[in-house]
Amino acid sequence: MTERDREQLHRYHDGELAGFERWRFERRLKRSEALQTELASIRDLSLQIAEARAGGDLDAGTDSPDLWASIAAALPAIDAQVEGERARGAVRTREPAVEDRAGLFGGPIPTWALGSAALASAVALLLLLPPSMPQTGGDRVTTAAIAPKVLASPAGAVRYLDSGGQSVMVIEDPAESMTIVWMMDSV
Amino acid sequence: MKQRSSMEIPHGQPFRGYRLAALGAALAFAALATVALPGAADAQADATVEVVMMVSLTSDDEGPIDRRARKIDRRLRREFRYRSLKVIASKTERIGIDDTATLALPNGNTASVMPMSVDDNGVLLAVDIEGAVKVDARAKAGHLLVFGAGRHGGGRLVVSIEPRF
Repeated sequence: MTERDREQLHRYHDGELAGFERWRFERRLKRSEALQTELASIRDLSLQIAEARAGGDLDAGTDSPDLWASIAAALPAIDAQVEGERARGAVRTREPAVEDRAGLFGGPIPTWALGSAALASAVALLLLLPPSMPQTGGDRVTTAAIAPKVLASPAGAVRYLDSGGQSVMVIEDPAESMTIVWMMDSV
Repeated sequence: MKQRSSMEIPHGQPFRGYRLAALGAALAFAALATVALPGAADAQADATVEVVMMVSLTSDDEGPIDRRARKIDRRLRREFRYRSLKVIASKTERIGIDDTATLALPNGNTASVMPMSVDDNGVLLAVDIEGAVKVDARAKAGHLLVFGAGRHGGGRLVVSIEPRF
């Protein structure tokens, strides 16, 4: 059982899975004895915690001492200290503005220069990076799914996708009656 | 003095007719649902889907394109570069809802498919390409689902699944 399975199991147990994700997981659960065993142990644990709470054992054991009285008593002294430091100018109340920050050559960097540099970097990246994605045409819907779980376009065939965090390209081609789901790492 | 419009529903006895009609319609609908829904559920449970599963290997080495994978090749080569395409294994299996058909991949992983529901819009399939992706896809009969299943033996594995029903 992977870490992802375990996470999904906990989400299922906590009622956080919805729609297809829940539907799909229940079917996996039906097939997997390991998942069933793990779920049973989670349920046991939850039950024990609930029983302990009901009996008062857990709450009694984890009660923390009430510290508010001592904190409240110390607050006026702390306030006075902060006020004193502020009066002496020891407390900085203003972050330096962008223009105040020292640049590469010791001088200030204007905001417009930072923006221009960012734009120039983006253009350079676009021009210099090799085309790692396959060519795509205009006669089909192409989706690059980077998130681990994606609910793709309801118009296409794909309703749910879990690529384990890897980038995936989905090509829906109704004309050819075909859907291609391709791991970008496998290109 | 305000006159009552002829379109107004008067309070009292005549309104009871509307309520009775609505109650009757609701009861009729409930009776119909009671009779029809279990039948629909049974039909759904009894439904079977024929699934054609195939695993192929693309390669940069010169070679033929397997004729069984021509449809895949025709579309796939518009996206990716390769010189040959060989079908390694294929199977056709008829499975019911929530049943699973599995095909072993040469890299030690498996590809499995499970129909979850069938209706006029097609079949909802849960596909698990081990080590690659897990996908739920709704496909009409004859719609081809093609998955890149990772590198293997100097090429790339391609798993295709086609439901027929």
